Amino acid sequence: MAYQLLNQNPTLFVVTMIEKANILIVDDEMGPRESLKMILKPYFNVYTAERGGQAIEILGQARIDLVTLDLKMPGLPGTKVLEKIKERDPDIEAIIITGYGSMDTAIEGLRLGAFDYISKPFDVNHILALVRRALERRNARVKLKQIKTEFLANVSHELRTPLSVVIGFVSILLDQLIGKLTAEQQKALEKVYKNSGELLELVDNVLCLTSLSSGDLPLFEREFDVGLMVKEAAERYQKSLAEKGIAFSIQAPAGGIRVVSDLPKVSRIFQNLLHNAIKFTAKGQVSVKMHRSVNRGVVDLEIVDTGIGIHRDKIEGMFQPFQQMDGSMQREFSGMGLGLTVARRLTDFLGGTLEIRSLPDIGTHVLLSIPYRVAAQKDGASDPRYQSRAS
Amino acid sequence: MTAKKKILVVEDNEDNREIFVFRLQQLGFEVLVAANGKEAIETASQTKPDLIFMDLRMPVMDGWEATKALRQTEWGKDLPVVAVTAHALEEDKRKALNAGCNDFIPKPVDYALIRSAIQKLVRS
Repeated sequence: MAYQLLNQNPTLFVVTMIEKANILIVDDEMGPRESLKMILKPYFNVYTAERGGQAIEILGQARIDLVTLDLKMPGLPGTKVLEKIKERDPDIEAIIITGYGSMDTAIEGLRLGAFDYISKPFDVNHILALVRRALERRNARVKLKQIKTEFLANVSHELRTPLSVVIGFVSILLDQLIGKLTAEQQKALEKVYKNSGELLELVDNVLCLTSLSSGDLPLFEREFDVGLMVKEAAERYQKSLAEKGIAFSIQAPAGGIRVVSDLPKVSRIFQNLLHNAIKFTAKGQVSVKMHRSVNRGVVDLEIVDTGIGIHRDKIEGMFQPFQQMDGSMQREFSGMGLGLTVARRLTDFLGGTLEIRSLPDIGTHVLLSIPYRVAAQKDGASDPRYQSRAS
Repeated sequence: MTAKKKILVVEDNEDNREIFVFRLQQLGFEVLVAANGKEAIETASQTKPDLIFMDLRMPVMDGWEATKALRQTEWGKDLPVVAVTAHALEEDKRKALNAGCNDFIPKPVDYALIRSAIQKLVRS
């Protein structure tokens, strides 16, 4: 039925398939605001705002695709409004409406990421053409982002599936569920196990960094216990701790620390830090301490080791995020860069801080502070920050 | 001695399925298997398992859809479903919780996590 309709009347098909774009007109003067509304109304869903503050409010409520913006307004200046729009979603297109040929503000608008500008009084066909071209750019960008996300999901799946089979069977062998192992067999399999685990971690870190760089990493908040997270992460390193003969301790408040934050990300940060602490400690101990600071609204996680440490001058360098996937990344891979870079970037993403104090041959003290919310809502789905991205 | 608890493993990758079966049998459970969401619903409706481990990305019918469908049935609306995801991507997990999964564990499946999920969700 739908197919027949498509053949007989292609225009109708197009009209019903493509959702009308939402356009927000921001102008303090009624004349231009209303005339623009008249022009756009037949083709788009139109919202209007008289002030910048009101425009920001509407952006929080409706999924706006494009904004036309008068830069000369009382109250919040137009350039500030544009900044806020781009901060909220860089893919929202903006067309600057200028009066009296004020080129300097129009150019400032372009610098801030506006699609184009048009002077008052404007030509109907000119403004419609501009709006359509801007919307085309937005659609192409949104589409590209979707493709990227889908591609990452597939790569992740394809890389992790065979690896998880390897790790799964090796651990079954190691637990001697299929048969007894000789000491040599056990040793060889432990190496397979350890290295495939490292490969898995590397894959996860690369994927995490890629989605951070592409800017489409969603925030995923839920309630969890920090102590439990630490314990579960530490369990993964039991074998290497035992092998090296390093003492390991966790100090946590008796009642646990329940917080609302992004568990997978906090856990990845912690795991990367713990991984480094263990990797660079040959003897002595690694200890983890945690406590909640109600005043600062953060959870502090301290990881202290008695490892090789690092010279003060080199600490900042370890965090240098690589700007692009070029040859310099290879050095980071084999060294300690990737895990720390991911830790730092994820910490920034969550609005936390990561401090490292270290003395060569004495050890390293890492302090991770992650902001948390108090458990009020049930899960991350109701988080407004999330919804604005998911829609 | 009470009857063995039944656990349904839904996973399209045969090798991963085998690992799961090994681990669960070792823990003393009766294990049922399904290769996709559609098979899972058929098997679950007949056998009424005590818990389902549900892979998410599967052919025919994926784990999200299967869980949603399960939640529409009288017998399946309270059945514990633990999503098993091979993804580092969190979008999948959020979708899993929204579809009605009680919890999720990452692949490669960790023996300790399987055990604690079962302890949490299945009444002994």
